Amino acid sequence: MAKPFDRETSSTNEAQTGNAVSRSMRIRLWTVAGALIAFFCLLIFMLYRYQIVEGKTNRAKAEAQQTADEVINPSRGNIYDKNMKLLAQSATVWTVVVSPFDMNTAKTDVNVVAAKLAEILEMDQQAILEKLTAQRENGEYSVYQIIKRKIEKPQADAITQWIKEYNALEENRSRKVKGITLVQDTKRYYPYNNFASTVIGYVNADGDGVNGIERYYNEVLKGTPGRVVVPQNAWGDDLAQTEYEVQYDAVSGGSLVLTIDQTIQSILEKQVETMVELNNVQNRAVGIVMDAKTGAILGMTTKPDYDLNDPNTIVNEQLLAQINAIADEQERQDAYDTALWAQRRNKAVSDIYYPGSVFKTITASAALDSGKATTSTTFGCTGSIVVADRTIGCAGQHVQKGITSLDFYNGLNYSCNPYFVQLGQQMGADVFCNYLNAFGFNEKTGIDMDDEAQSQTIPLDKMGITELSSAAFGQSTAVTPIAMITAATAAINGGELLVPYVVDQVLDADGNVIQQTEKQVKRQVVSADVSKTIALMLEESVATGHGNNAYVAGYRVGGKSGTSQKDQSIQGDDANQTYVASFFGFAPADDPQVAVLIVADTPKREDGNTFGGRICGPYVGKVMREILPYLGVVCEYDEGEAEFAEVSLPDVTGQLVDEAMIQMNKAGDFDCEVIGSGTTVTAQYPMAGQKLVRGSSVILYTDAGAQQQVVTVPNLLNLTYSQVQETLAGLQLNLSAIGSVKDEANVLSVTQDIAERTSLPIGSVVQVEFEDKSLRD
Amino acid sequence: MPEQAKRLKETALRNKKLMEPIGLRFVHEPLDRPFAIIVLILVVMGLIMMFSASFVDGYYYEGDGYIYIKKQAPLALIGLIAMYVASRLDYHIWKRFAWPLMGVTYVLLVLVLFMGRTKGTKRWIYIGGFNFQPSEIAKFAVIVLFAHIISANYKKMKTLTYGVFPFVLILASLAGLLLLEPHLSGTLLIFSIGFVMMLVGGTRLIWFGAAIGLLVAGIASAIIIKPDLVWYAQDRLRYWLDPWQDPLGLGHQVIQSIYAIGSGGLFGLGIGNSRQKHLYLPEPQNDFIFAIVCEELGFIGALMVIFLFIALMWRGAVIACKAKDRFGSMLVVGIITQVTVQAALNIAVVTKTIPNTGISLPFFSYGGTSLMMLLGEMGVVLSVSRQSSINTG
Repeated sequence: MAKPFDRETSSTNEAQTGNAVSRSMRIRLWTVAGALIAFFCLLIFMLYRYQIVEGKTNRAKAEAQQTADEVINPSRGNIYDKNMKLLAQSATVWTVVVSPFDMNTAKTDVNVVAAKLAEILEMDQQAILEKLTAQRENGEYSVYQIIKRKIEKPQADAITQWIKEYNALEENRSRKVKGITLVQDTKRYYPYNNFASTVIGYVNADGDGVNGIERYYNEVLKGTPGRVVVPQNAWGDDLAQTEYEVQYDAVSGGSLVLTIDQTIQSILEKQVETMVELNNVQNRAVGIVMDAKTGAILGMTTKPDYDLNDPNTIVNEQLLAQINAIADEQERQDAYDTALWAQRRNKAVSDIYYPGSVFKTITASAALDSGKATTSTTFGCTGSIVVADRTIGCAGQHVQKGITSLDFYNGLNYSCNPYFVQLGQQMGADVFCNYLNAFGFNEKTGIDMDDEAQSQTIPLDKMGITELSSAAFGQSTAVTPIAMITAATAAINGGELLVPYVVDQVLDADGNVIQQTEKQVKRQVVSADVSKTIALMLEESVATGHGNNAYVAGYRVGGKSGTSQKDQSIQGDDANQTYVASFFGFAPADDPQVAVLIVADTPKREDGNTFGGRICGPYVGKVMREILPYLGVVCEYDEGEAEFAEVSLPDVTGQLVDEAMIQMNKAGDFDCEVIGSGTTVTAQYPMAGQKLVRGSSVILYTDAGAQQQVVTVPNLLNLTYSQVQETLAGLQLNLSAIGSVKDEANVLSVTQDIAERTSLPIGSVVQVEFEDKSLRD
Repeated sequence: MPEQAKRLKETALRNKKLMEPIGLRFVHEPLDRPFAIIVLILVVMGLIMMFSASFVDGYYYEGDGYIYIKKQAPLALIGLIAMYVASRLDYHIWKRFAWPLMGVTYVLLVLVLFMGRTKGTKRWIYIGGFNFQPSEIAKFAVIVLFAHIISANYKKMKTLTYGVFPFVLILASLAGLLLLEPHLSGTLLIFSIGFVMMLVGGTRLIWFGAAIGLLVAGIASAIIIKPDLVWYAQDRLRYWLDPWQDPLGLGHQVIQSIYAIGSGGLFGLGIGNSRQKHLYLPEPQNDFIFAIVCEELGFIGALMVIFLFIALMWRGAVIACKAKDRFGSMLVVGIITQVTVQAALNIAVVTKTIPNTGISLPFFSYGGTSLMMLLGEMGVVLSVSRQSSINTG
């Protein structure tokens, strides 16, 4: 190739004049090159370290930020009563979360967002704007701000829709709305508000049960969360790299079917609530209904309780006013928290009390079962007994009746403390403590409920004569109501100590039964014979003796009352002493199906009465009266009860008067009064189906359009049974008596279901409650 | 001789007479093919990686994923033309521009201090739609001037007056101006170029020992003159040592870089498949593009890129050794030093080997003006290769 200018390079040929590349230049040049290569080798080593040696960890860290690991919350299971009535249910809601950092990065117009969110969520725009521009302490924008919790589907959809439409517009391309996240969540609904609230419990904002069944069965109800791992860019947009997407499905929580029966629970709650109100119970009251054969809890309540849909409001307005009056903010908050804590507490399983004379059922059955006593064991009592340096008085009224020597039944019926002190001493601490153990007072009952407390007993090595004596009549062993009813039930149900339970079945999301609770017997505590004896004695006590206020005509109810002093350091009667009144009942006595315990902590009645037989006994009776027919227990009147037996009225309308009267007579000796001149019955009062005591008056009208005759109800309170009956009979009204039905001077009427001065058609039934005012424990 | 050829030769001769006074002369010897091929590979690979790295950033912040490649590709093409033209030019023409170029550099370096700040520093000059860093021109000016001085005074290079003073004076004054911007990495690079050229040019080794002492003194005085520098440097240093202490702040870019590098593993996620470029690594098309290269091409790809730079250096050194004269040799040494040291420092930053100084990766990082200049310089090297003994052996 021609090189035209080859020999015409600039003036001199430098290569030949010494200005050429010298050897030393080459050496130095290659040395520098070598040094740079060495540096490159260091860099290669660094790369090797990051990519190969630490490759996996770095990649994992990168993936952790590149992927959105979204938790899919499973839906929480429902809670049903025994008959599948819905007691608790969850619904999907959303929490609106924003990231001001992302909004700032994406140049989102926060004013537009604030205005729109304010509109959709019905919130203050300025407040939202503040959150949208919230900064961290170091001046960086915050990455997590909650705008609103638990919004419902329409609002959530509105937000999603708006973001989608806004971002799709071309003009918003450079200021897209970013950084708004709707976090799926669930909200718990309790359709019956206060119903069984201390048993069911509620759920906190995180979806975990705080107390009650919601907490105890939290894991079952909650289910297993699922996950979706989606690759995202730093702004949270999903990338189309689906090969990295992983999904684990959530497993919905199981549903619970309780042993609680809504009907029984309602009856129990109504009665306990009334008792608390009328007896001015200061420190809440407990009611438990238990299946005596299985240990299933049919009803359990603590009153007053709270609204599960609003668990953070104090129900007691008086208390709330007191708290709000506290000046110091911290103190006020503490008082508020304490009050809330107390209000939500399930007293039936979490708190202990001295059971008093109810405990005598335990001592009595232990004494018989151990053989240390028989039904004919007799002790004397003249009103008190001295043990060591202490005098123990007798609340029983046998002394007034001239009885100073009591056999086993009288000891139990009169609830004579000195009798039981001597009985306990005869048994000895050793045997007594063994039975404390056997009846389960040194362990938890094992009920499937949150926060169960353990009963406190005096251990054998500390069980001296004084302790043994007071323990024998129930003043030294502190028990939970659930432990008391479980032990007392063992004494009357044939001797089986059962494990009480509230959850009958666990269902999966499709309604299949995945767990069925079976009856569980801890141990045979006393023999079936002893149990039978105790049960029949307690029945007798209710029918004719000291438990009479719990009497329900037609049903064989047994029971034992109890009153205990809360403060054992105060001896004898003292104005400062406070009491716990209680009553344990069961039915039918020959084959107990159901047991009821009602405990009133610190009643403060105007008349100062604190006896369990007076305060709780009538309500145990009222609960029994309503639940026994519901449970299908057959109502049978024995001879003595014949006069209280109630019979349904037949329908005699349209019949000839004579025939009608014969039929009424046949049905229940009903005394018919005919009003009118016709020959056929045009109407009857009371109506057919109404239950009336045999021999009650029935009015038969024979003229079409005959006017019903009306009378005015008089005051029926503070009268004996026969006085009430005579008064009503004079007015041609019928009596339905409940409560104690002994026709004695000290059994007086305490309530009437139809108020004084109300006008009633003749023949109507007025329900009157009688109470034995003489009863003591 | 045919009439036409004769006329051509006459025209050429007339042109030569016209151009010779300013030294403009074309050379027609073949260029060094290996060097040219390495450069072409780097340019093509650089463009592809820049496109891949910039797409998401462009899409989200500028509304167009192609915006960066649309700007870079034409300038790369112009740069390649410039490279070809420069390779055809007799490199001796740069001797004439040695001092004027340095003069222009000083003017621009003063001018830039009156421009607005970008990310807290004043490094850019904006003219119309164009923007460039005077420090880029400063590098080339230093290379040309140093080559000129070394070749002119080659006999006196061992003396202090000729072998040290002029260089140190120029370097120190440039450094002073650059640190006012402040532009640590630019200073560092110019110093590297200057020292390597002095070293190869024949300055006695003893002066380099003295230079280290001077450097210490220089840093000390710089701190006294401008105490802000301490804070600036400390800040950079602290987040280098422990970027995790503020993962969302200054340490962010380095952490994200390590994540990207680590994610690549041995073979990488495949070209275009980087996930760190999805807004996690800030400005992945700029200084930290090598992290995306590592993520997409893996350890193997990263090694390949490093070997390309080493190969470029090696071939450049061969050209320098076989250059026709010292001026050409020193030009190549300077240019090759610039590219290699810049690449090494960039990769060192990206791999957290040295603190984050804000230095781009030649051929890869986004920046059309700088790529154009770089390719022009590659043309100068090729021009030297045309007149070297490399072809004749």
